Amino acid sequence: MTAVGLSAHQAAKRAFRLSPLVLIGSLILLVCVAIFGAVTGPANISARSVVLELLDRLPLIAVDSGLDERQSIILWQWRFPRVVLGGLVGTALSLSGSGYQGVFRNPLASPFLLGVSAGAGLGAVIAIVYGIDAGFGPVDSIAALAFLGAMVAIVASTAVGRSAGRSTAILLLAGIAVAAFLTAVQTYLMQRSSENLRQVYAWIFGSLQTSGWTDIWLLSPYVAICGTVLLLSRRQLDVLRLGEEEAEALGVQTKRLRWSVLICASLLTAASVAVSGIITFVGLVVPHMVRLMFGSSYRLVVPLSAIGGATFLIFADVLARSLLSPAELPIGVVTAFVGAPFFGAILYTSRRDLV
Amino acid sequence: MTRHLAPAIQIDNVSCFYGDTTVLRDVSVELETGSWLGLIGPNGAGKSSLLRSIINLGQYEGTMLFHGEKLSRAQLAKRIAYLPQNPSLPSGMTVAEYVLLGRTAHLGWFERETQADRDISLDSLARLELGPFADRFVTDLSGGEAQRVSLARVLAQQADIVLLDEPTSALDIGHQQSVLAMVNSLRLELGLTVVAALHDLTAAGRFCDELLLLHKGTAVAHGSADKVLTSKVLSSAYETDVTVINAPDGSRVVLALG
Repeated sequence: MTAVGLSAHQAAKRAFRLSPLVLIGSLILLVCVAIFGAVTGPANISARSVVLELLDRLPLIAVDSGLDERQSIILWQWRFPRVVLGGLVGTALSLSGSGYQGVFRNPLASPFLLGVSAGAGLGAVIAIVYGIDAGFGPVDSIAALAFLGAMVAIVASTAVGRSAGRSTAILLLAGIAVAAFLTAVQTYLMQRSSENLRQVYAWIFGSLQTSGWTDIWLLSPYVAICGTVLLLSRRQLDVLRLGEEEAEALGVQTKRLRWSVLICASLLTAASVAVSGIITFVGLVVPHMVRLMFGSSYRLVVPLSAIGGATFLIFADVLARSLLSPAELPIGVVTAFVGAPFFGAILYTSRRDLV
Repeated sequence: MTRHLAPAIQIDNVSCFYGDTTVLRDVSVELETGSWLGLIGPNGAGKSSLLRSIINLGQYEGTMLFHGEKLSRAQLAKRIAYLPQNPSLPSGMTVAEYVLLGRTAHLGWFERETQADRDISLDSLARLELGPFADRFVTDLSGGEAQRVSLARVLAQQADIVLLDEPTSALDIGHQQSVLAMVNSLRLELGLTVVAALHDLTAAGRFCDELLLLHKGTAVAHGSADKVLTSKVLSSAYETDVTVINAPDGSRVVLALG
């Protein structure tokens, strides 16, 4: 007899599937938060005007948003770029975190805790302090050195962690040691070159302050290409949850998977650090929230982290801009306010699985 | 035609390595389609290394042919299923999802499972009477249930050769028997060729057609249970006094009295 109960059918049907309802719901939330982000600020612009202004830019549609020229410039030169940049950086960091978590099979792996952010930060500081300015298109010297720093950090964390054992705790301790060392080098370089100090400090604590679309053009190719690679790797990341040997035996080329995901995750971190400094905890918190709410399959975690990361960071930026208005909090402070207690809660609830 | 005549597995002069150490030397063995080879021997004899080499997870030298052919890595994953000693059970993964992972090697571009893949995994669940467990998390299962779920994943892979590394090591004697009986009935029903590393020599004698006794990295005896499960051969390999009793049903009961 091969009679199967209804629940088995339903379970097999639902296995690894991302519900369209969840996908659409999360996209609607993102759009709402983005409009909220565009509305927030000293100049009074209504949500209705924002929506009409956007519709007006669509081909074959002509509507009057009712905004004067000054408001239109504020919207297109300040607010929209800031919201889009926040979304892209949030997506990049969350995708990066979910990639690291998949490859290391470790729910606490994230760009910040693995030292990757610090590595990217050091690379970028070297470029700024030594005035290295070369490059082509989205590959400028800050992004390139940030990527180099990110790769050095991830290789160092993995090597130090592996030499001491394979437990989750050891990998993270290695990451923290690497981050501390790279941050020390970075601080040393910054102190030596006092003429650039203010510029570097303003950037290092994380900020989405931007005018115009330059940073967005720099970041978007990385998000598009690396995001696509990570999205295409999400099923294999699920197989990798069985461990390297079992994944190999099931036909996954684990070495190739590991390197392609590591390179893409590091590129995403490096590119976002290059444009917005070090924004902590996004890569850890967002994939975790997705796991808690929707399930632990990477087929859900990767796409929903991309959307959730954008939503989270745009909202965090709204808080950064409005909590001490007209002064502005560094966005890294806001994400740490949310992220650090969340991190504590994860440690508390999963303490048995971690060591 | 040669495919059907050639042995399911042909291992010719295979030596296995772990880093610079040779863990198994010059093993040669052939296995007919549908038969069950039991790998026995003390800890560290090289049983797991041989299994891992068959699926190309370990370093080895020598020739391995399957139905007379050399298989690429991708073909190996389609034709040979491997279950390690302690299969990982990821937290937050349901039984249905876990079994569906068995389809990995069969997926096409973009790696989306088709309805056929889902039906095959459903059928594997049903064969092992796991329907009611489909929506449970794999981490919430008992040892015996978890081993059945692992076997369901192996079945979903639809491989004709199955490699099992100590499939009963974590189970009590009741579950040990039921898992081995289950493997045996699946083998007979589906014509699977099975290679299993086993610690329980009595069970190995009952279920396997052939036994290969490994000791310190070499094959010291090969053949039917009658030939391999003798007091003299086992005492020498296990370096302790081993007594073999002929049970009334013709099987052999192996006891270590040393």
